[in-house]
Amino acid sequence: MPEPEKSEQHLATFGIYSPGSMSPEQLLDEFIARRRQLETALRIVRENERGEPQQHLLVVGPRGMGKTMLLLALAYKLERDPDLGGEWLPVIFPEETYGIGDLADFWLEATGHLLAAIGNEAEVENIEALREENPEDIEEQARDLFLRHLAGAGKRALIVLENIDAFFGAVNDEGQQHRLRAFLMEDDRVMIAASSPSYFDETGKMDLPFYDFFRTIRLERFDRNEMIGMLEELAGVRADGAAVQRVIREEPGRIESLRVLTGGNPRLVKLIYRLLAEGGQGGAKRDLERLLEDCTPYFKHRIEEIRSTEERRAFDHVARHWDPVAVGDVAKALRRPSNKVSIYLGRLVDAGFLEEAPGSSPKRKAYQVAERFYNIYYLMRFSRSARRRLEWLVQAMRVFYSEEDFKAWVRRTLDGWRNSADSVQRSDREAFLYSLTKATEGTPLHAELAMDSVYAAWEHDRLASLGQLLDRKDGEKALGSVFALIESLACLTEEEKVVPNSKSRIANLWLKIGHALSSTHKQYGLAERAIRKAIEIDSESMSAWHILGNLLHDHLGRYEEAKVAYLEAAEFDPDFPYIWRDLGDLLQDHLGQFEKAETAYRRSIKIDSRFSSAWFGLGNLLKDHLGRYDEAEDAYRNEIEIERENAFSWNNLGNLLSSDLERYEEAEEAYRRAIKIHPQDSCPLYNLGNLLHIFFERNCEAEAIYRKAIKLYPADAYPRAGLADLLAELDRLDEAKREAAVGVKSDPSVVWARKVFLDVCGKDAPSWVEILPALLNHRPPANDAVYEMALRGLEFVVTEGALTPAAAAKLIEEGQAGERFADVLLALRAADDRDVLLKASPERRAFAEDFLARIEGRAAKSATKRAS
Amino acid sequence: MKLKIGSPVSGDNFYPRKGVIRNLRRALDRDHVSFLAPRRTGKTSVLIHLEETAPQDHPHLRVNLEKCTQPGEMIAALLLPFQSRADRWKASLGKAWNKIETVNLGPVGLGRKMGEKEWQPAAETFLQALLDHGGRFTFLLDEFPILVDAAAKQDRDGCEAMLRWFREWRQQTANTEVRFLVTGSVGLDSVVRRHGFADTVNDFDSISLPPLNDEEAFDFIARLGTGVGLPLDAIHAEQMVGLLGGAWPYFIQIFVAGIESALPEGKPDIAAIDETFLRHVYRDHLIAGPRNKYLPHMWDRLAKVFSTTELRIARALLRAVARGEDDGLDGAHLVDAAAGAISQSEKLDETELQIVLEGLKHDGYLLQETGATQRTRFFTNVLRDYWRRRHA
Repeated sequence: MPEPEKSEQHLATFGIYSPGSMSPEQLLDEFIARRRQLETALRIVRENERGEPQQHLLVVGPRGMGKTMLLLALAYKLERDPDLGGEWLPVIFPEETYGIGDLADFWLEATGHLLAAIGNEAEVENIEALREENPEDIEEQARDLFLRHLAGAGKRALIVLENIDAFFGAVNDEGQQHRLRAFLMEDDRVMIAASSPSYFDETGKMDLPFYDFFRTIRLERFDRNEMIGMLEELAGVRADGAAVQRVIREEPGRIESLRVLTGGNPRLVKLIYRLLAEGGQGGAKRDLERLLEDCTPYFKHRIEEIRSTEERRAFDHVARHWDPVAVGDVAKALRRPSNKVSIYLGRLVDAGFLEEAPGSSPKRKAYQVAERFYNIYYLMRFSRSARRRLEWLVQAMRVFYSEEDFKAWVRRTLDGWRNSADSVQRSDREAFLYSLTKATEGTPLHAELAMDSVYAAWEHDRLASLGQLLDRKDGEKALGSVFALIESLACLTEEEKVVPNSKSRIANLWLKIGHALSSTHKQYGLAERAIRKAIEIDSESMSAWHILGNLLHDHLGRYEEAKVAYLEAAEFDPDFPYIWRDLGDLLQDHLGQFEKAETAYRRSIKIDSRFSSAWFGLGNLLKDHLGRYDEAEDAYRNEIEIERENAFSWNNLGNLLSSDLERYEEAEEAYRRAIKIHPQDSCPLYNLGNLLHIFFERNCEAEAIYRKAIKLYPADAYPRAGLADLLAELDRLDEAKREAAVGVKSDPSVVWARKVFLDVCGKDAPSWVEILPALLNHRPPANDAVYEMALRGLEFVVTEGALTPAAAAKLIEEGQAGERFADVLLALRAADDRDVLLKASPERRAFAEDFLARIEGRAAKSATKRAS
Repeated sequence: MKLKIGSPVSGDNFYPRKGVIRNLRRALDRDHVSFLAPRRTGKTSVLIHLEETAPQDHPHLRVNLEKCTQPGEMIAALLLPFQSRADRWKASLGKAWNKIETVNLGPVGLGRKMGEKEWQPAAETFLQALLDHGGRFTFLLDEFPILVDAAAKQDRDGCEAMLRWFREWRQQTANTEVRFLVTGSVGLDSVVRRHGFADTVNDFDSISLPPLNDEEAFDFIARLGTGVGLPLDAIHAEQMVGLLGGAWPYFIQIFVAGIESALPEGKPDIAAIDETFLRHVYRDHLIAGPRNKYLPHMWDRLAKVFSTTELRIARALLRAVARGEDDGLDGAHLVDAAAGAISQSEKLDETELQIVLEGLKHDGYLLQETGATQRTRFFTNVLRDYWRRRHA
C-alpha cells in the first residue's frame, strides 16, 4: 500500500462516528489500524473465482473496533484495483437497515443500492412498481431483478451488509434463510461481506441455516503496540502530528494508560489523538468536556445495544463502579441467583461491554467496564453530586494530559479563583481545584499541587476555604504535619486570635509550618512566607528572624536580606551565639566582609567559648581571607579540642599546615587523622595525595591514595586531576590523559581539572573529542570558563581534522548548550555552506566569519606542518 | 490449495479423499446412498467433487434442495439441470429427451402449493424417461432432510406421500443405473423420526464421512500451509491434530487461518511455530473464540432433539465418554452407560440406544471409529473439554 500523503484537507475530520460520511479517498488515507485484516479480506475476494462456491465474509468485533471502516475500505480498494475493479461491484447497504422485513425487501434494497452504484437511478421505479404490485413470488422477482441489473453492469456483486445480526433478526423465517443460503452457496455472482458486533445465534447454533457459514475476521481491541502504531501513523499523515510523536517518544506510560482507559477501542483512540495533538494549550476541562460530548452519541447508543433487560441491569451495576465488581455483588444488587448473573456477565464480556478485571480468579471473578473511558462517562452521567462528576472528569484528565499541563491548569485556576467575581464562580473553581488535586493522588505532583492550593488560600486570607480546595485526607497525606498546623490556624476563631498569648502561639505555629515546609518539603518560597507571617504576627520574635535569616542564607541566596534578618534577630536576643556564628558565615562566604565576619565569630565565641563551629568558622576566615595563619591554627586547634572527632577540622588544619605554614609532617598527621575519623571522605585523601606527591615526592604512596579517593568517589574531579598530574610527571602519558579527560568529564566546573587537562591533553585531539560533550552539556551554561574551554576545544578538533564541521555541529545540537553556542553552530554550518550566513544578522555573521577564519587558518597551518 | 473457510470447495481446493470417494462410488454401484456426517465436515464439497469427476457417460447431477419446501419444487429442481442445458441432454438422451421436454410442472415457486396430483405425474414421466434411456444417472440430493422437514411442516401428509413415492421409486430403480444419494446438514433419520415417517428412508445404504486419517491430515495441512505461505511440516500437523482431536478439514482450516493471523506481519518465522505457539493459537482461535460461546447450546438442544428417555441415554453416553480416556469408549461401556441411565424397572432398548448414538454422531457430538475397535469419542477435543468441564 503506498504511503499516504500528508493532506491539509483531511485535517478537519476523522469521520469518527460515521465513516460512511468520509469520502473514499479520505477513508483510505486514514485507514491505518487494520491493514492486515484488509489484506486478508482482499485476498478472500480475489480467491472467489467464477464457477466455484464463494467464500462469504463476516467481520466480528464490538462497536468501535473498526468494522465499518474495514468493510468500506474493502469496497473502495476493490473499486480501485485494476483487476478486482473490473470484476466486482460493491453494493453497499447503509449501517442501519430498518426497512428490511424479509428476503424480498433485501433483494429490492440491494437492487436500489446497485442501481445507485452504477448510476442508473432511473430504474428505481421498477423496484417501486414491484413493491407496489407485491406478487406472490415477489422474492424471486426481486432477486431476478437484482441479478438482471447486475448482469447489465457486467460484474459480480460484493454486497456489504453491516449488522447482519440485525438483518437476521428481521429475516428470521427459517425458510427464507435456507433460500438465501442456498443461493449464496450455489451462485457465484454474489459475495457477502458482513459485520456484526459478536457471533450471534444464526451463526452459532448448529441447527440454524447459517451455522458457521462465514469466514470470520475478528477485530480485537488494540494491544499496546497496535495503539502506538496507529497513533504514529496518524501523526505521520496529519499536519498536527509532532505533539503526538513527542508523547509517544517521551511518555510511553501515558500511552499505556490511554490504552487501558480506552480499552483499546480504535474509535476512541482517534478521539484521543485529537486531544494529544492539541495538548494542554486549550482549557483542559473544556477539552475533556468536549471529548465527552463528542463521545456521548456513541456512548449513549452503547448501552442500547444490550438487548436483554437483565444484562442491562447487570451492566449498569458494574458501570456505576470504577473498581471491579464481583459476581456476588452484582447478584445481590440485581436480586438474582449468581449462576444466572454469571451468564449475563459472560454475555456482556463476549459483546465487549465488560472485561474480567486483572487479578480475577476462576473462583472469584470480578468485572469492570471494558472501555474505562466509557466507565468515566457513565459515572459522570449517573453520579449524584456535581463534585463526584467532576472528579471522574478529572480522573480522565490525568491520563490525557502531562504533569506540566496539570500544574499549569492548577495555577491558572487558582488565579481565577483569587479573582472570582462572585461566590458562584469561586465555588465552581474550588470544585475544579479540588478535583484536580485529587486526581493526582499518589503521585509526587500531589504535594506540589496541594501546596499551591494552600498557598493561594493563605495568601488571600482564605484558609477557611481550604476544605473546599483540598480533601482533608489528601492534605494530610501530602503535607503531613504542615497540613495539621495549617488546619489549626484555619480553625482559629476571631476571638481565639485575640486572647492573651495567642500572638506568640500563633506565630509559633507559623514558624513550625515554615520549618516543616523548608526541611521536609523543600518548599522554600512557601517557608519564607510562613516565617514572615510569624514575624508579621510577632515582630519581636528572635527565632522568627533567625530562621528567616537562615532560610535566606542557606536556600534562597538573598544574602543582604539574610544579613538584615540576622541583625534583627540579634537585636532581640544578642546573647544567642548561633546568630553571630551564622552571621559570620554569611559575611565570610557570601558578602566578603571579612572583618565584620571576624567580629561576629568572636562575639559568638565570647558568648560561648565552647561553641566549636564558631571557632571553625573563625579559623577558616583567618586562614582563607585574612592571612593570619598562626591565629587560624589556634582557632582550629581550639575547635578540635572541643570536637576531637571532627574530620573536617583536621582536614582544614592539614590544609593550613601544608599550604600556609609549610609544616608538612604535621599536615600529613592531620590529614591522616581526618582519614581515620572518616575513611569515606575523599577530600582528606585527595589532600594527602597532593601532599605526598608535591611536597614529599612519595609518588607511589600518592598514587595509591589518589586511587583510593577515586574508588570512593569515581565522579570526584579533584583526585582524578591529581592523579593525572602525577602520572604525567611520571611520563605515563596515556594513563594521565585518560584520568585528565575523566576528571573534566566528571565536573567541568573544577578549575584544577580543566587546568590539568589542558596541561596533559591540550594538544591531543581525541581527548578533546572525548570531553566536548561534557563541556557542551554542562549546566549551568553560564559558566564562562567552561564555555571558553568548549569553544577552544571545538576550534581545535575541527582545525586538527578530528571532527568535521558537520560532526562538531551535531555535537552541539545533541547537547543541551542551547542558545549559548548558537553562533558557533552557525559558523560550523557555514563551513559547509556559506549561504547560511546570508540569513544571519551582521553580528552573528561577524562572529561566524571570525570563527571560520580561525579554524581555516589553523587548519591550513596544521596541514602544512603535517606535510613537512 | 487456497484457504476457504465456511464455503464448499471444488477443483484444486478440494482435498482428494480417495477412500471416501471410492466408498461412495462402490456404494452407489450397489444401491441408493444416504451420506451421513455432521455439519461442517465437507459433505457438499464431496458432492461437488463427485459431480466434477463423474465420467462423461455417467453424469452426476448435484441438486441443492435447501430452498425447496414442497415435493413439486424438488421435482422441478431435479428437472432443472436437464431443461436448462437442453443442448447437452438432447443429444445424449435421444428419444428419452422428448418425454423430459414435455414435463411441465407449471409455475413452481414460492407461494404456489402443488398437490400430489400435480407433481407426481411429472415426476413419473421424468424418471421413467431416464429409465427407458437406460443410461447411468446419479442424483446427488444435497439438503434433502431440509426439504423433508420444511415440507412436513407445511403439509405432513403431502410430505409423507412424497417420501413413500420416492421410496417406491428407489426400490424400483435398485437394479437400474439410476441412483440417488441424499445428504444434508441435518440428520435425515432424526427429521423423519420427528415427523413420524422413519420407515420411508430406511432403505438407503448409509455411508459416513470420517475425519481425515493421519496421512491425509498431514498432507492437507501441508498443502494449506503452502497456499498461505507457511511451510507447515509433519511435526506441526501432528501437534495440530493432537490438539484438535479429530482431523476435520473445517477445523484444520480455522487452525491454519489462526496461525496466519497470530504470526507477526512480514515473512513468517517458521521457527516461531512451535508447540507453545500452536497451543496459543488453538486456545485463542478454537477454544476461546466467540463461536464457542455456543457450546452450551449443544447441551441445550439435546432436549429438543431427543425424547425423554432418549435424552437420559444421550446425556449418560456423553458423560461416560467425557469421563473416559481420551481415545474413547468401546461398545460395551457405552451400553453400560446407557443402561445406567434408565430406571431399573426398564430394559434398555437396543434400537433406542442406536437411535441416540446415530443422532449424537450425526449431530457432531460423538465420533465412532471404523475398524475393529469401534471406539467412540467426542467429535472434537473442544467439545470434549467443554463437556468434561461442565457436564461430567
